[in-house]
Amino acid sequence: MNIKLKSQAFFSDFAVSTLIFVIFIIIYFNYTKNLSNQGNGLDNLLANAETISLHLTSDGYPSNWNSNNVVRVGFTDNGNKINNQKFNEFEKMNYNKSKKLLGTMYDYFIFFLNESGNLTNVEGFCGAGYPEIDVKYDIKAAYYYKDNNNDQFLKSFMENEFNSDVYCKDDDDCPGATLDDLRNNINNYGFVVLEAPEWSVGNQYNPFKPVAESWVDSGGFLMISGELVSGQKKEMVGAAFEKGQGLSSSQERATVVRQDEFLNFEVEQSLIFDQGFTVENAGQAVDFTDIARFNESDIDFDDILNNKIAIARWSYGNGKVFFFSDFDATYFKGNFQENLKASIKKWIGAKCLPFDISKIKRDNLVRVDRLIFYNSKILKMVLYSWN
Amino acid sequence: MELKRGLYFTIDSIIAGSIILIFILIISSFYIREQPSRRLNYLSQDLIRILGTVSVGELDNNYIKGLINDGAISSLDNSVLEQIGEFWANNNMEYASKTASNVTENWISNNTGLGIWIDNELVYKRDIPIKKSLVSSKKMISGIKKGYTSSSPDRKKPPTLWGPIIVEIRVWE
Repeated sequence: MNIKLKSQAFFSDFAVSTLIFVIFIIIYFNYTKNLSNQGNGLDNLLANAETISLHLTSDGYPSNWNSNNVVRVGFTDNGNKINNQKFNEFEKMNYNKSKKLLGTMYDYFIFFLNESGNLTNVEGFCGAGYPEIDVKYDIKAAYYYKDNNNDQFLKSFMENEFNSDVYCKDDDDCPGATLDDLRNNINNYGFVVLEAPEWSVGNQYNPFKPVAESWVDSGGFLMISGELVSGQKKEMVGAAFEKGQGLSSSQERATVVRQDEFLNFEVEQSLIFDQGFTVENAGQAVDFTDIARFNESDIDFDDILNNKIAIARWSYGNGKVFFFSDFDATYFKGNFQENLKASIKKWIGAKCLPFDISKIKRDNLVRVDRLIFYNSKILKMVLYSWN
Repeated sequence: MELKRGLYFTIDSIIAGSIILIFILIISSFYIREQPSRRLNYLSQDLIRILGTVSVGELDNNYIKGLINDGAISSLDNSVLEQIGEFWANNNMEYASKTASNVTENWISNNTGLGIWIDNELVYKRDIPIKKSLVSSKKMISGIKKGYTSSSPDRKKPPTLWGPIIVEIRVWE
């Protein structure tokens, strides 16, 4: 029997192999199509981020814009120098409004790095943009108030912004966190706020004074409001505090007498303090700066310049002190509480802690770096944008 | 006698398909376009803008402060670029180079090169090989030659000027 040796191909094999080959081709084209789509998405995102950075490093429009007349946001002046006033307006702006003005549908967040690559506080802010990114300050803070029946205007702010420890007079209101505890722990803090403490001379003021002075002298930041101590003209941290004569009214008018680099109040604008308490330089205060003075019975600005002081700040040793007659106040040209909170962040100049962006839900994320100039230093502005 | 047949095995087709796929991927990789380095654009523009407007008096830089204290810098209103230009005009290349180095080195990553040329003369160069791209920004500057101005210059006693010259900042990676 003659057997012909021939190569043979079965139809089923051919069909299977063709199918596999077609699957490979489909996979390939799908892969390249996705790659292309992803590339376009990234390109758009990057172009958008660059546009945002260009806007922010411009002077904006109109060139002297504010929150009422802004058309395009930008917070630098000629030469990439940050304009503090515009930057503060930008910081106060609602996030969605800022996105609209920047013409972006993507989320964004900006922050600043110093020459060592560390996060840097600009005008009291560690970053701006996407509100869910929580940037904390690298400073340990304490807040003291008298009791639950008295003023605690800065309590929630201190807790939220600085993760502050809270102390008060009585163990009932603040278990394990009384004035004695604050006195014992004060050296653990960099920033302490005393809101309307109303200390008695013997039990509270006398033991706290030397500890506070030593702490401020070594570099602490102390903020005081309201009645520090019930006795008249008691001295602490270089200044004398008192309930001045003629300041017995419950609504004391005052006037801004000096433009301050931290407190964004306009000169000659009026304030009303719920309670009128005053401070004066007792001799050891350095760079004592009066910012607002009580009107008392005067009307003319020049006369008010010699009146009792409602807001002042000064240095004591290596530390700094800020005094407010009361945190319960009204500012005629704006929001007192907002100005107060912004000035605190700016005044203490705290370093910023690194923040975590890994929890942000995103498909793509791009980064644009720009150089800007702020407070005598070149900084790197980093812009993250994502979709 | 056993029949010997040429068979079309599935495994063969997988291998063949893989080879073709790899081949296509390799070929297509030649068509991938590299993104232009816009980072360098911004870096050179920002540097020339900041150094061209920030004065030596307002910049917080220890080296420049030292030169001010030593009297090597006399006009605090000079921009940083003008000051580098003044050193160059006075043939003080060491100061020019060190000033350029001190104000820029913290902002340039390790894989980025930077050079400053004044009137096509190299003043400072952070020399790394160019692998991808190079971007240049230029600005025209001028100034008063050191020691060539009277206390009250007028038309009869004009100060001696240097420039205008072009200062160029190049960055590359």
